[in-house]
Amino acid sequence: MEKGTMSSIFKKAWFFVLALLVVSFYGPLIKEGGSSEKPVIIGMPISLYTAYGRDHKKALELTVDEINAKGGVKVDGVMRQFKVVFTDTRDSEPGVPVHDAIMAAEKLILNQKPDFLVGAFHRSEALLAAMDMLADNKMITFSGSPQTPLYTNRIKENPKKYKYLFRSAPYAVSVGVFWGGVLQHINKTLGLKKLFFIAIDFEWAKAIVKSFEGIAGKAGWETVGFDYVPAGQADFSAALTKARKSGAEMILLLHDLPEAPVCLRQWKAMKIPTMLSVIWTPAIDGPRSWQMYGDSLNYSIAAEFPAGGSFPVKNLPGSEEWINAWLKKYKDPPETSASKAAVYPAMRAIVDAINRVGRLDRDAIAEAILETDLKDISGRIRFEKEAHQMVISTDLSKGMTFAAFQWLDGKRIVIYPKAIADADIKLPPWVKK
Amino acid sequence: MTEPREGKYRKERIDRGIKARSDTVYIVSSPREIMYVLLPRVLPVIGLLALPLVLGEGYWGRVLFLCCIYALLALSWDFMASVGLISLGQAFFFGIGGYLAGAANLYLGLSPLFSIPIGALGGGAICTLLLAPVVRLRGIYFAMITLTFPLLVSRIIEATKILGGTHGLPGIAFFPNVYTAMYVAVPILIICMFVFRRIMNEDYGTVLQGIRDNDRTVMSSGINIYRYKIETIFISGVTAALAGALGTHYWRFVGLSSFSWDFTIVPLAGAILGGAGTFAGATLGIFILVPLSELLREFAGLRIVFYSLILAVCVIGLPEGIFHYLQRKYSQFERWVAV
Amino acid sequence: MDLLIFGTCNSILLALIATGFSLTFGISGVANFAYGAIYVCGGLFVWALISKAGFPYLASIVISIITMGLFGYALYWVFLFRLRGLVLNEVIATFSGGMAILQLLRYLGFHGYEYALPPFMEGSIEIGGVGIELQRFFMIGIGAALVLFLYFFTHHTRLGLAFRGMSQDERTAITLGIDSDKTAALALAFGSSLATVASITILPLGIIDIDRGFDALIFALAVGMVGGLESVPGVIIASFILGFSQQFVAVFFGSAYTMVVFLSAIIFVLAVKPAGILGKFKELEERV
Repeated sequence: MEKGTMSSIFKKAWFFVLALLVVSFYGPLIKEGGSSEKPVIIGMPISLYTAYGRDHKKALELTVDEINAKGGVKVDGVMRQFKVVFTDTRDSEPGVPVHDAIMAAEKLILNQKPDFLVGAFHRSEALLAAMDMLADNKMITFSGSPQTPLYTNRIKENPKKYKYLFRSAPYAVSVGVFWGGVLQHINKTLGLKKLFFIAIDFEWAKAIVKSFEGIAGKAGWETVGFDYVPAGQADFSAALTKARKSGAEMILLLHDLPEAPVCLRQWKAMKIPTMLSVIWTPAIDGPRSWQMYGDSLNYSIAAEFPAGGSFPVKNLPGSEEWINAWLKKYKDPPETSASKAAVYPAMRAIVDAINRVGRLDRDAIAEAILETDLKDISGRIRFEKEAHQMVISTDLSKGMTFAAFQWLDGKRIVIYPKAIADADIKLPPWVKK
Repeated sequence: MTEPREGKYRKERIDRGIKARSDTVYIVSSPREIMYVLLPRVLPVIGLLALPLVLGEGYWGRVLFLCCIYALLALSWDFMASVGLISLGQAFFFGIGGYLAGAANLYLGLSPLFSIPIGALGGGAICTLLLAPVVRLRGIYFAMITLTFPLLVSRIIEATKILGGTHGLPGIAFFPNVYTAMYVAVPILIICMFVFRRIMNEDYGTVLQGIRDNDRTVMSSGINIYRYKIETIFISGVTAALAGALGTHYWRFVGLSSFSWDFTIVPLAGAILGGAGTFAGATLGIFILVPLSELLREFAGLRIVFYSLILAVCVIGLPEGIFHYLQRKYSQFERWVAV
Repeated sequence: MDLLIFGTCNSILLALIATGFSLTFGISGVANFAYGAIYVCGGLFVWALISKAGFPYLASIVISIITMGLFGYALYWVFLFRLRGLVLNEVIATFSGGMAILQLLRYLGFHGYEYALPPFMEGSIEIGGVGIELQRFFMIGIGAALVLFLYFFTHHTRLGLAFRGMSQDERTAITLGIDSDKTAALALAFGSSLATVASITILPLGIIDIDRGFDALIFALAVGMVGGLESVPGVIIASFILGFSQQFVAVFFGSAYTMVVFLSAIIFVLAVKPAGILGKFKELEERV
């Protein structure tokens, strides 16, 4: 091999690398020394590589566009527009590189200097680890997808330190409470009572299953078993076999990674005689699922938050506005059943708080957010004082609500809560009762 | 320079004049020669020590700390490689050290002053104990075991849910302030670099290189190579575990991601890029790679692609690394001579 | 009963994945740790041909196998040519190359529900009260055929014997007229094609998941290490041992422990008998 030509190529390469090194140390310093920004900056550190991440990003841009079109928000007497900045935290990758997620969020905060963070993080692991960093930076943060109760627990334990952290989406406990209601309704209507969980082996799912422990019993159900499936595993045969053996009548699947449809397929192929419901399983509860899986989805039950997010609910007037605006801007429907969650309520709360306080004082705004009480299409936007958690309730005068629906011949029929239901649940023909 | 002239010529590489003169004892007579020798060693040290003040508390100060952590990992890889043990699992030491320090801080309430040494020494000890049974393997087989160790430990923690399971241990104490953190990390890095070089220049280091080059010969001279190998693993392990402990306190968190492939491949890429076998080279490689990748954070997913490609290119095309190249340029020059 | 059936399925799955790797690393002595990347690429290529170019399924499979074979051939000349004989450098170079490819695919967004291959035939049948997808039967059939093919190829054809000769003693092989570089490149090509066959058969059972690429490498490595890298019967035995223990652990201890099984198996074998169950040579080399 010609050493001569090789080394001259490498020589050029090293000069390039050294130049890049110099630039990389000094470049950002030059960029940072700019003047103060006029717009109010909303930062979103999220895993842009997941379905939820993409939906949240689109939701934020859509919401901000609408607010800016109406003039923006009044700060110190001047109308200012919102600007959004994103960073990919990669925190939904296997092995959840939490360090990387924290670094990414920190870079966003230190370089772009956002005033608020919305839809922060995708995995509970990353959110929990970042709490201290966010508190130190006094960053008003509305978390995104993470479901863990440990977030609200830590806020409750140390309200002064974590006064800037909020959650504008459901979490394990609210999911548990809501689904308890759904299960109770199913138990009363169809008489089913044996429940089996198949959950992905992540914090959020474990938290939800745990929150069911007390609730299922009160709803008239008996948990006959559960199985946790490691992330990345695409074979659910062991779990499904266990479910069949346990005599379950309903399988509840919690799995937000793309392997979830395999469970659906195997469930159908193995002819397991149960109903199938899913929680936060975008492969199956998202608007596009029917196109992809056809009638293996028939009779499956899922839920969406907030009600009216990705399909209009007949009994919620005005719920078609969001999805129509979405389709107009993005042409394709959202990928998940949480496209309006986290981001939309957070933005409404932020705008409301700024309008009330009148200036961008983080302490004042954090306190103002706790006083939020806004009427919304899907209920009311309010926050629990101690846990900084948005109130989720089937009572539309108290909080925001889910909508549970059943897939029937390609359509989603809302079955719960009763106040907004379209029809009653139908029992699939293969479940003997 | 690359085109040979007419007739029979060959390329010759000889020491520069100033290097030849400064290798002897007469160096003390000429300040120029003293500078020639001292500058490459002193300037980076002064530069490193001054950087925290220059970069301040902003993001790039964080990056400097990150560089130090990765550089410690690269140094530990390099040290193990000097005895012939190529490890594809620095993340193992890193994670164990990190978990120990985190547990000491969280469960025992010890301040970073104590938890970092505990993490470093304890981590090194545990990892050495676990690797001792397989130390008789060579080359590729040792590498493969080191590859599987971090995966195995992280799966065990995930499955048994001890030490926080998948969500790890958050809420660990930070250093008193950012400057303290940097002025702990940078001197440690400099000390390690010089200590390792010193070891390699002593007799001990000669034995290590002998083991790397031809271990049967060393064995037949009556030296117990396993003892040396285990000691090397311990020293490297302590360094890498130290990096882990520092990292834990810096991120205020330790979890399964401490065993991630990032902490293996970045030191590896940096050490090979900079020049395996020279500890300064490993550090140099890291100080090029890490800021570059921070710059590329916008292309989040591409960073691993970037590291992997650099690693592949260096292993294939430039096995000697940058540092050797720089060293060669600094002390020697090439010319064409008639045959 | 279902333990038996799914255990067998699992074992054949492992054997399928391991054959390609075994051919290159075990039998020919050429390290190809980019195996996982090739596995995923093969599947994605078929997907691309079917969905984007609209080719029929069978044609896509054939094209993909041939293309990945060529890709493997090219891989040798790009990555391994200068590193022949330096096993460790081969490992590092191919491993990082593979990682780069996988991460690039992930960056480009090939991660979602729509990236799935359709099964060869829909439907399932019942055996002993357990419903099994027909795809798994195909897998068993193809897996068995592949292993048999591997055995006959390496023991009874000139090229196969050349592969084995090259790994046993390269210099002697050269003196006998075997072109080391070309043979190694062919080994890589065959290995890649086999990887594609494996991925085409297995991927319809799930989705094309990039992370599976890394897992595939670990599986192949585990099977190779446990059974003895250069022995085909070793591959069979090892896949059954590992396949059944994985299923066993999943059912009785929880799915989280399955990877632990693999990794512990690799470590255990390397510590106790590095050559593997049926491996013979390389024993002297790797122990001091």
